[in-house]
Amino acid sequence: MFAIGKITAPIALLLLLSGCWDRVELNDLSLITAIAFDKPQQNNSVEVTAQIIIPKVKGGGDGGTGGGGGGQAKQTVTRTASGSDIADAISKLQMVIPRKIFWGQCKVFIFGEEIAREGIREHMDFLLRHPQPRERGYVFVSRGRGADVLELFPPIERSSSEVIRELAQLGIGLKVTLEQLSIRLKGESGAQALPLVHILPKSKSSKPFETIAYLSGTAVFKDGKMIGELSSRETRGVLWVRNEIDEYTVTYENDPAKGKVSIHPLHAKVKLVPRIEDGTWKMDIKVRTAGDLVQNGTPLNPMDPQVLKKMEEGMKKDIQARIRDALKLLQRDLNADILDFANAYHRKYPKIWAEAKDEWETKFPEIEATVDVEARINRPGMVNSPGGISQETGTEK
Amino acid sequence: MKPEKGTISGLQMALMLYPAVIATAFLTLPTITAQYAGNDLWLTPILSGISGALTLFLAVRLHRLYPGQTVIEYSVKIIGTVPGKIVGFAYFIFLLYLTGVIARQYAEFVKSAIMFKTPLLVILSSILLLAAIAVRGGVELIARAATILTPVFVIPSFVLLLLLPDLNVQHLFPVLEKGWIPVLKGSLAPNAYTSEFFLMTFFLPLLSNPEKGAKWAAVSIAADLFSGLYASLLVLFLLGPDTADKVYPVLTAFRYISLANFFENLEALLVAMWVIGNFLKLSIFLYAATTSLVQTLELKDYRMVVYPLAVWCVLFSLWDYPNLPSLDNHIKYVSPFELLAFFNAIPLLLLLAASARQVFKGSPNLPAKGKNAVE
Amino acid sequence: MNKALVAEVTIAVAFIVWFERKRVKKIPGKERTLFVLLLLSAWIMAFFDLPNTPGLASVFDSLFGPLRPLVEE
Repeated sequence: MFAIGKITAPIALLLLLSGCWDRVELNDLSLITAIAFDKPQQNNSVEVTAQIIIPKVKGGGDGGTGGGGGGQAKQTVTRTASGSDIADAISKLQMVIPRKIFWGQCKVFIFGEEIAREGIREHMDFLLRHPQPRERGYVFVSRGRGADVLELFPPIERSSSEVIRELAQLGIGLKVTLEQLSIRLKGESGAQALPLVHILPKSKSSKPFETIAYLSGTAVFKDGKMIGELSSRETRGVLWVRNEIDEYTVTYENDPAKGKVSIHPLHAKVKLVPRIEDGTWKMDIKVRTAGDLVQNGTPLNPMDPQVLKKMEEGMKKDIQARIRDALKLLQRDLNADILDFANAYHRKYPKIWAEAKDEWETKFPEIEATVDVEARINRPGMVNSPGGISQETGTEK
Repeated sequence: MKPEKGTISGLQMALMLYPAVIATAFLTLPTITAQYAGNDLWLTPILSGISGALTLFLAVRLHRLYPGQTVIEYSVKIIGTVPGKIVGFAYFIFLLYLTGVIARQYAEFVKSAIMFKTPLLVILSSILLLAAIAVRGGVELIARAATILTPVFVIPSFVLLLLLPDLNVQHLFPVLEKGWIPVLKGSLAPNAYTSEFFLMTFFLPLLSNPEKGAKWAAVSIAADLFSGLYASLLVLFLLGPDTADKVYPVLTAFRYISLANFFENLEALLVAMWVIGNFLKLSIFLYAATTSLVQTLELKDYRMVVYPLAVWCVLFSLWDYPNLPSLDNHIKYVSPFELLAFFNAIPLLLLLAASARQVFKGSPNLPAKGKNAVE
Repeated sequence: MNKALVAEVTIAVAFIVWFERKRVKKIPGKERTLFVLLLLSAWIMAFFDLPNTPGLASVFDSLFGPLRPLVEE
């Protein structure tokens, strides 16, 4: 008799502990890879577009597809719905998707430009409060409608969201996760920055919509509303200051002007040192970077240490200029502290900060920033003298 | 009188006590301490050593004065039969109620993090049933379960180190911007949780070598402090000012792990840790509650009451808390006092009374009186 | 009144009685009464709307309530 009891208890527990109410089969889920938020045409507040992976299509097919027009079959599909807030829109979205919406694979969040200008705070609340959206997903702003970005079918990657994510991880532009954005929205600086997504004009041989989205530039926000943008060049300056330079090439005109030189920085270390001297707020931006030569358009031989020194000078000036340009735009024109100077002062001078923080709007543009760059060129690449010129004709000093 | 004949080793006791305290602390404390102390929250686990030391001192001292007895048993000897029994009964009700609250905390987390649709009752009942089965099997069963499960519980927490590239040490600064007071306020809860180590009063009598056991208990407390510090720092470096706003910061940390785009979605690991840890915690608290009842009423066999008490725990876990905010509110503002009262204040008073008794009458025990004769 | 709770407690009590049948017969009267008392009282409690019923937590709330200003941020 007791034996029955001993068997039923573990079985009952096995069923109960794992919560059979929440069982979901994999093919009852619709895997969302990206979500875009836009301003809808009608009266509602927000329009949500989800990009869903179509599970059956795997890698272009075995026999038939082969060469020809470059295509794989469509691997994603998008669905749109609008509502008074995101939660409302999502519930309406579920109405047109036969499988349960699953956020576990959603790593890309795009805010359309229009809705970014209106303000993203209220939408961020959903993304942070709801248990499913992943805090590690990357957030972007799109030129135009975010939904358009999701409707693209990239030739190589599985989905346009994967394209954007990979590009972001490459480090060419800014990359901001949901959590980082959440921290910035609470931050002292009152300003945020998100990478800007554009759609690459499609090449002549591609099918309709067969192109990718790419990152270029930055959208600048104040208190959750987009107020302006930085060009690609200025974004580089920002990346330098934020110590996020990764995959990037510096190209500049060598002085005396004899051709262009390109360096591929491999290492960069940046420190922000705030100083307050006699009531003047200063910020020292110290950059230490080193890279290798990848293109030498001058007839000079980089193996010569003096030539190399001149080239390093040029590199240093170029980086300084970029950073200064970015700073000028941020301090004067936009008055947005996306570089988080505010926190730097807060950490070093907490008492002075406590008094001054309400005046950050006026203080930020007045900060005197000095840019101190130390640039080194380590190696000349695979050739010594300029490629394409013989030893005699070329090399001058 | 021991409710059973089991004996356990000092190490086993340490392995039981560690999850008994840290299982809920790991998950719920960082947000509470962040709400008080902001970026100084990491100081609070260090300060919880105060209660740790005090609790250890009280439990061990009292056990030395009354070897082989638990707090329930020696209360009677210190303050007399009627007051002693009242104290014993109070401990019983309190521990039963605590077990319910712990189960509720566990169930709320599981429900909000991973099992959205499963009814709360199911989650509560299943874990309490499991704990009841363990308690019914005796303390040796729990000890052996802890020997295997506590390491399993601890190891996944190291996975958090994979967050290293995402951590920002700058979040630490400025240190003590608002002074010590918020830190002290914030350390009330960690101290209260650490005082739960007083449960060793139920295990010291079962040890073959109580003095060594005391040393093991100290190890357990130290491990607890260190784990609290580890969790606090990690969460701080990751989330910074956002820490206080998350309901479960450690869950967010686990969700954030991504190594080579491959090791992702690791919150499942946290939930597994959580189930194991809480199973152990609930078993120990239920065991303590059962023992309290059995010793107060001087029963011979404890096993009969285990399942009925488990049912009562389910009732307690639902009682008085209509939703999660009310539970959280209580845990943040009232629980610290409850815990400190029962696990630090009352033992302290008992120790003072026993010492006074010794000073005046030369023996810590009350004079022999029929049934309550000294053993 | 939570029907699921009542149902569950009833089943639990039934199961417990069934499971412990033999032991109940062996133990002395005092413990038997305790056993029955615990089960009976639990069963009766199940009929209340527990989440909204003031209980021990409320007792502690009122007991330690005055200390609350000490611990508010």
